[in-house]
Amino acid sequence: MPMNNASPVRALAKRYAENLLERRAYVVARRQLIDAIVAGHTAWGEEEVRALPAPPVVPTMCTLGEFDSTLELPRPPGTARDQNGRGWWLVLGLTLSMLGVAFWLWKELP
Amino acid sequence: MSSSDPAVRRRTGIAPVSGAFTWSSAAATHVGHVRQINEDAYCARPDIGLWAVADGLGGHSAGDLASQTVVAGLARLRPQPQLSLMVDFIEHSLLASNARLLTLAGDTQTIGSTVIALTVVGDFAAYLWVGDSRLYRYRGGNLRQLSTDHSQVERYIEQGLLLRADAAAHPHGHLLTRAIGARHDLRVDVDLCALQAGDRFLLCSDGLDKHVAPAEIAALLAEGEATAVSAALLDLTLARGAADNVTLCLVDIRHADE
Repeated sequence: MPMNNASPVRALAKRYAENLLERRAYVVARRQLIDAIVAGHTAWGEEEVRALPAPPVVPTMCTLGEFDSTLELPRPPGTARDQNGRGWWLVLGLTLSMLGVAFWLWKELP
Repeated sequence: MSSSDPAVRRRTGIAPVSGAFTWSSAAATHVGHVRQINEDAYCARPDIGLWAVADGLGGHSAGDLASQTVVAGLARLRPQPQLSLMVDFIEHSLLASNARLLTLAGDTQTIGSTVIALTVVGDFAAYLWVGDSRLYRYRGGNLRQLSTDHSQVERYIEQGLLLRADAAAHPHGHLLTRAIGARHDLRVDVDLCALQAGDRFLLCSDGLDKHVAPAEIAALLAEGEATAVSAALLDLTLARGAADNVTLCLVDIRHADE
């Protein structure tokens, strides 16, 4: 028996269930999506739902407290320094590789 | 015992026109042959295009209270001009029932229920569900399960760990991943369906699909009035032992000019 599991409305609900959307954003996006489908502005049919783009995430008004808790996530100590360190090692490796290739070309080429 | 017994509660209704479509519906519930009380409940509001089936969680406290709380909240809803608003109100009602059941249960017990709700506005239907109460649609000779169970077995199937054919016999078949009254951060699933004349929707508790295979449901949905078909589905379930409570709502969609 066929199952129904790929519509954009359901995909939106799934993102909310997985905590990828804040509740207010979810409710607003769902309302807009359903209105668009009912008005015929969004393609709808069980054969074509897989081709539909992901439903829009509509930004909503947030309180300052919500911004404080979501925009600035705490980092583990030393993370930024470690990332910079990795970058310098990458540059050094690439430079040495290029020098090696240049030395080989200088020796091998007539 | 058959569905003609007084133990069967049944209701039928014909609704006003919505968009290009009109509908008729029938609903029935039965305690079954094993359970002592009926922990299922249903809401049939064809006047506003709303139907729901709720299944109180067996083995927990007051399953009948849970399912009745859920359908009572839905039964109080008023019609809305837009499908999106109706979805908002249904979800709000289910979240309110969730909060109420959590308060009633306290910290030491669970008062839980599943639910499947169907609403029709204009040329579309929306359905919302929590748990393993199901919505089927019969269209053009084909039966399709529209809802997807919130169950451990369904999760195994999604992860590729279990074949759907083996799901019915799996020892974790009774484990739910979502229920009203189980957690504060309840997530209600929702989806839409574009209506066609001749569509037949079946909302049911798992007491039906435990005993009746999809092919048998399809065969019974193929013809007959909603009241007769719902009685036939109930009779077949009872004839097979009805180990659980069984509840179903059947909704027939027709062109408004038929």
